[in-house]
Amino acid sequence: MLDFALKRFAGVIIVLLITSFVVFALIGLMPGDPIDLLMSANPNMMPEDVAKLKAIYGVDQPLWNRYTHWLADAIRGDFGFSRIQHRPVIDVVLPALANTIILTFTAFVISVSLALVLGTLAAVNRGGWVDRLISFLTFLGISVPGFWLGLVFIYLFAVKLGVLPAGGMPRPDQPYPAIAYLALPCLTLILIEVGGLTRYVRSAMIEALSQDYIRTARAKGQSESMIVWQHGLRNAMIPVMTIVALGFGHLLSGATLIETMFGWRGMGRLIYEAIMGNDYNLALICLLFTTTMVLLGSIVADLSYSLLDPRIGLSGKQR
Amino acid sequence: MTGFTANGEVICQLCTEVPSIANGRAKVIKRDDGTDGMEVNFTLKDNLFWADGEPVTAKDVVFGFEVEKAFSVPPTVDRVDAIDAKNIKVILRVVRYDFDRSAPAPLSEHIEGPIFRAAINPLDYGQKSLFNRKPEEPGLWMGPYRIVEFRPNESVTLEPNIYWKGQKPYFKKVTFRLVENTSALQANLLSGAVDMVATGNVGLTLDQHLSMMKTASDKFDWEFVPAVSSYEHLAVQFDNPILADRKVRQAIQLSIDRKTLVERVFGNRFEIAQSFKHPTQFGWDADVKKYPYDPKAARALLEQAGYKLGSDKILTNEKGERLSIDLVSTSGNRIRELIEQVIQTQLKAVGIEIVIKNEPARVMFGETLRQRKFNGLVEFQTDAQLDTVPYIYYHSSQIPTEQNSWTGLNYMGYKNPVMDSALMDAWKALDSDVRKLAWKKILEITAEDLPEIFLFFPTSAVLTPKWMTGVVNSSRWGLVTAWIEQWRAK
Repeated sequence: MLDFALKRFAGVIIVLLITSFVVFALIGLMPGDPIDLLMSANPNMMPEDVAKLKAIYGVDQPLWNRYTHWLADAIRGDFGFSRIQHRPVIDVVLPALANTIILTFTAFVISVSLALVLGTLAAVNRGGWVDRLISFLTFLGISVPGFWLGLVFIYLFAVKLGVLPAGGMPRPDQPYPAIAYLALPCLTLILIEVGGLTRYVRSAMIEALSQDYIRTARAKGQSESMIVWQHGLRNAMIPVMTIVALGFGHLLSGATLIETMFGWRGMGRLIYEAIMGNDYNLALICLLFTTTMVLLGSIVADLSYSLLDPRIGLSGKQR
Repeated sequence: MTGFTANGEVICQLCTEVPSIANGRAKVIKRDDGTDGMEVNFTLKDNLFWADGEPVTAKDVVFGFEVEKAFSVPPTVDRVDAIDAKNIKVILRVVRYDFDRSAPAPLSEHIEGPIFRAAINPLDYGQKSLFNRKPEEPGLWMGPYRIVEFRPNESVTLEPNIYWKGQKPYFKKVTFRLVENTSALQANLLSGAVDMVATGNVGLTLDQHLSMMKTASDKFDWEFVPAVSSYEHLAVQFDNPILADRKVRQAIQLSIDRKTLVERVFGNRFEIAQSFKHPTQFGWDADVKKYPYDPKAARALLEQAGYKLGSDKILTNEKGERLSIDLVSTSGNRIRELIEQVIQTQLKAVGIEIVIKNEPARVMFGETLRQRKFNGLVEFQTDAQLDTVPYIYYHSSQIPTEQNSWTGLNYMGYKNPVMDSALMDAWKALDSDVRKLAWKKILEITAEDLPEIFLFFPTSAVLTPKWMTGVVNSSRWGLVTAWIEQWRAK
């Protein structure tokens, strides 16, 4: 397993290098460099000033030179300054990351737990009213746009009932406790995520419960709950784990729409603002971070197969 | 240093007296190279203090100029000298009408000075400046409030500056929050999470205001303030031979029913723009040529221009080229997209085909406009300072080109030597009567030549909770926060 993990991590480094160049190039191709944006704010700028500032900011250099300069600094741990916020990129990213972890991890744990229970119930009661009800709710969750759902919750809980804040980050001078600010964005994210996850779990459980070993376990007189939760779910977890691990990686890139709707200062919103503001350094680090999380999620998924089913070898061979 | 009344007259904010030739604070001088320049003298008020108790002095104004120069050298200001603690002398390289507002804004020299002088370049200074690193530093601010908490991209909290000697601010704390989604912003307002919203394009949309006026008039008051220095218009690409024909431009102007547009789309809250200049501003000439909605006259002009109706109801010229024009604006802006559709329909009625090609604002402003990569019309809003001679918009030297690093805002590529001359006359005129004549000329040429198709002046809706007063100041121009010390609870 250590061998496997090391090889995969080496692969992550290579992918990150390629991604960093591609992202750097794509951002560079976007119209409007930082000096163009300065010119929009100051129409009296003279051509000499433009040339001077372009040289200072380094945007007059060829793309490859700018990239290698950035890479050399990044390897030394210097990720540069955010052009918009004029602070070190790390100082900008870390608080946003913490906020995203709080929001998405909470939503993720609840979503996965709910999905496992609902998906299993639906599979066990396949065709019955429980299955139909759960299926209907999951289709609703998949179909309803997240930003619309968020808006409905704001109007219901904040405007009409007045029991939760309409958005923003927790502040000491506000009447609501800190957890109240998490409630609505978390609820929205859960309802968006749980639908799809439940469908996967249901599908995987139906497959697992139709296997011969389940019939054998019943024939041996094992209780239904042991059959479902121990034998069935454990085997169903293998395909589900792929979705969960990859989903977790994506979650750490933030939920842009939800964060914008609720004013939650997370990674999703940060990435969007960095790209729209042509903030090279910040956009690059944010995008590389999300790429890393997705890749790591994939590695965790692969490693977990072996843990869930000892028959699966990480070299790709069945034992 | 200075501000404006709502009618565009210059008033002192930090100075004791607005400089003028009459009061001797301004005069024309001969420069070393023999050309005419100006010397303008400002005196700071005695009661100005930074929020750490240090007095605001002439050194701070000089420092402000130093910092400005490091980023971009003001093209007409030669130097700024501190005569003593309160008096500043500004030397201009040219004679210009707006000499009375030529003083740079003061920057806190005792706080930022050492940082600026230690920086290796402007970028380094920007990264180390306390404005970016620690905006809560009291010595950076001199107004009625100072920043006590700054959460990047989230909120700014202000408390009164105890050294402020003007009208005592009423509120002990004011927090500005950033809510990017307008629907969420409206919900925050209705739930009481925020008390007010920003005015102009930053706050709620006009239709949100109009809708809330029907449903929430028990909680809020509204006042609609015309944005007298902003106007919505279609920039015209003069390199396009179709649009280079004045008759075509005039026909387009005549074909757009702006009155109905303003009534139906904007609830009659916006004002039709006959020019870039608002009628309440200095230099306006009520006799300027106006373009009512007259599709018949438009068709006649197009016929004179050599266009005939084709079988597809679109005009064609002698060469068989269809009168088809691209219209670009910012995608995702619902109101602009609606206006475009209305314009498309109305121009089709006179035989002009409009092809809508919208782009993200970033692309449109970052490249399409700046590098003049559009080939027809572009719809956007121009926000100018009050009492601005439209030199950067209409002078032929202000056409962005690769050679001039795409500086200048004459995106249309408009070249008219008579206009160039009128602009320079207005710019150099120190006498208001002479300036008025120059303005008359500029407005006449603009109305005849139509380098832009004028649509309307937007209106800022100022929403205040019923328990508040002092937010609207009908005698002053600027953001409502410019007189925040006047805000009160009833």
